[in-house]
Amino acid sequence: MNEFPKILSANWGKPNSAGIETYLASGGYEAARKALGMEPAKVSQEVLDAGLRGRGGAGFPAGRKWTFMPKDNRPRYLCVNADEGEPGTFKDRDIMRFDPHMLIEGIIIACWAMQANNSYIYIRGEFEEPAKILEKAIQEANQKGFLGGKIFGKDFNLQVWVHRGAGAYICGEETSLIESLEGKRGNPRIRPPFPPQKGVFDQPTTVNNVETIASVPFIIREGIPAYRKFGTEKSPGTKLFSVSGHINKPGVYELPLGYPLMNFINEVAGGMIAGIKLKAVIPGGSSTPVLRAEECQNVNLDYESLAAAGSMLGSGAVTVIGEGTCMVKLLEILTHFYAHESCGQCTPCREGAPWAAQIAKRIHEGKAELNDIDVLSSLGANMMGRTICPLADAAACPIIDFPKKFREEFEAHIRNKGCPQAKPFPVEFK
Amino acid sequence: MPVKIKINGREIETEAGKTILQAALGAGIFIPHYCYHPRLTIKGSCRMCLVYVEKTPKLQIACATTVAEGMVVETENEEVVKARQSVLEFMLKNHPVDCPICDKAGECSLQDFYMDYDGRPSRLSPLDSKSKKGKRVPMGQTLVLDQERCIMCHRCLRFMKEVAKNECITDAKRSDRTVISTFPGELVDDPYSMNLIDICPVGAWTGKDFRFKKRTWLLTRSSSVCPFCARGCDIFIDHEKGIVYRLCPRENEEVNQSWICDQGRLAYPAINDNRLLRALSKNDGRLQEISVESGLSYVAKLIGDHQGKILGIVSASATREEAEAFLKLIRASGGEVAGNFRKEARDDFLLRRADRDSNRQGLKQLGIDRPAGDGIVKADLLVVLESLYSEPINGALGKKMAVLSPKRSELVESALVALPIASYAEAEGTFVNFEGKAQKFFPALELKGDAEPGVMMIKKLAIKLGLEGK
Repeated sequence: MNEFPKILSANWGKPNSAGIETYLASGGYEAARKALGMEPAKVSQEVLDAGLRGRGGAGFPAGRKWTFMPKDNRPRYLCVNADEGEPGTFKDRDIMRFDPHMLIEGIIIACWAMQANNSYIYIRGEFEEPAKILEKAIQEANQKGFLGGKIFGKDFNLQVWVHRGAGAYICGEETSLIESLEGKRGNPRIRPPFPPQKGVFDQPTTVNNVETIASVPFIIREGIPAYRKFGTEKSPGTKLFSVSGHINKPGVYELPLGYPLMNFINEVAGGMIAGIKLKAVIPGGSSTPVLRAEECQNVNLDYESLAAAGSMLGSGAVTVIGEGTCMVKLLEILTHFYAHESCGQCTPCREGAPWAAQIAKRIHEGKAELNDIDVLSSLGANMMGRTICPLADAAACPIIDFPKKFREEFEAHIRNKGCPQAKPFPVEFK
Repeated sequence: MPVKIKINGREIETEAGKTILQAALGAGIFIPHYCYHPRLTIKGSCRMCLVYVEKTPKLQIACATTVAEGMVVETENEEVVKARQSVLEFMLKNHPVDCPICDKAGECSLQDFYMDYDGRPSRLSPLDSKSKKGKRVPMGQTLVLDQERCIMCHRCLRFMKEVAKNECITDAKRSDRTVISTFPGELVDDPYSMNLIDICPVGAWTGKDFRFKKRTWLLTRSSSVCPFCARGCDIFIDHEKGIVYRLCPRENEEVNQSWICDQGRLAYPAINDNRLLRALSKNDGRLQEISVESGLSYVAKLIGDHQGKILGIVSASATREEAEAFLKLIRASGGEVAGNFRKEARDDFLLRRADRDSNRQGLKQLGIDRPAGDGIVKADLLVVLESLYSEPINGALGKKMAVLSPKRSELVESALVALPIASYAEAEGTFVNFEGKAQKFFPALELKGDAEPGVMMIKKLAIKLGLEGK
């Protein structure tokens, strides 16, 4: 681990790493001071030139997103998306638990760049501990004068609030996050208008992921070349990866982008659990296409390499699937999740996800016919790209991919009138 | 600014800012849709109006995609047809398909579009269950909701919020468990609640009043104008064999948009019940049926006997034509004419007017703008022209009275003679609404019993009195 550069996780493991003194001792809030001495547009440009891409999943250039904010007199908002709900993803939680001030400093810089005076951290309802830590950190930053009025002597005010969600995965989608923040039911909005035109309370709004914002202080403090030293040309910098599944050392790791996937699994994360063989990897959270073991061999953990392999970097949640895992059962679990979490607005998602979950369950239980596999795949195809928000696409991904990539397993379930394996997973998790 | 686009190879000129759906509908090209409603904000969630737009990577919803110069749209290519079929398949996944017991059957968009655009057998395995929800949820005085039939188009939510300004319903739960619901312990209590039945594209919202009464395809639909207040909402009278089963709004941008109030909608039983079907005359204190001919002679004799001491009273909800003929007749007989006005209510923000008469402006144009008042005491004979919803007249009971009426009213009961006339549902006529808009309507139903249109009855009286042509 020591060989890797640490940007986001630099302070993790230090005593009282969440305290402001620890953060200040590591040069904290110097970047914010520096940024407020710069032209706001210059700050956005720096972030754009550093090549920082959205860490929430879509990978859109962060600096460019900031420039979409209109230059009118309306109040502007930065929403930090801390509704980390994607199965397998648990990286933002550690930023907020171990180094909340890095996030707050990033917020100050981003708000200065966009000239926003209010920022909401929309945090997943289940994250009680991180929410408390954040509240405390905001209080500390207020006391030090890093938040509030006249920050660093500039004529610039900034208030940061923590808003806790109520337990819906869909509220991690930016427009439903905005709806939820306004106190409404978290149904995604139809776009256009996009949040920079009409976001929170109908005002210009930018929604950024926690990790994206937390990456900003380093870029401002150390400069573009220092950041671009890590990662690849098109995917510069470092990224947090949360690895889970049949792996010896599950957890959160900071790696430079472009790091080979197999090295990550076999070396950094301690290799496969109980020495079992690798069967497949879902490389970027449950919404990204699954890769069979052989497809993983020359893949690197960056936006381009994973796209070339037919998947996505997503949120950097690497789910490692070992030999002996029943892919039908896994599909059943995944579709059950999406069937539960669909907001229920758009027809294809509302009806398609639960229908697919029913079929997947039946196939696993041996109450299906060959034709059901085709119905299942077609449901996915009919959901893909047909809804307001990308939840249906995420749900459709495994519905299309699993029967395609593991067809023989699905057929075996039907021939065998049930799961051919004694247990769906090779290892029991406690 | 005009914009030219191409839909299915046909060049169409439309306006900048319009959506593909609006442009298509305007040009007579139908794109099926559920959540889109011209008077509500865009929701974009039913996904029925997906169309192909050149140079876009995936299908776009026509309801929310604005037109651009040179845009090329296909609404019937293979990709679109398949997407549409799949949306219908998804909608029917959890829909109970209980058309045989559904009030909406026959005018249901889900039925229609399934027949027009899909028609394939279901792929749902008998082993997969449909979502179980509330089948008959009472939603207030007027409404029952079938949550299983609902396709979640959200038209009802938007109507209550945007039109009725009463956000009393919401979508609750998620995924295929989502239901439309009131807030806990509350009901839909709104003067416009029953419009939900009309805008619901399926049979989720049903009216307590119409529930299970009549299959819609047996009904004949006739255009008319609501006589229940000074707005004069355009309506449809839906009837079978002379019986009216319901009133529905008829679109008119300038009068009532697409809505009517519940009170007006539920006023229809007066067309069916308690109607005056025969001429009546009082004999030994009791009303007896006589022929219209004898009744006419009786009224003519009374008018002849009381020349100069007659007060005519006309309902402000009678048609302009009736009022005009009546005025002419009474004046020619040396009498005066006053109006009979219904008790005022209060204006509301949408349609309902304080003035609950449908033709007060029409009367005003004829110079009749005052109630009878003291005139009743001075007159020796009252000649009264009633309408379906006219109210009793203060001080009239006990007076010598001839009544022309569509209903068996209190005034009829105390009259010397009563002649049956048609209600607005059986007559041709004009109402002038509070803004001075004159709206002509035609008979929806055949005449009942011996009744004749008021204008005809008055004309016959004039002939009897030898006044015709004067």
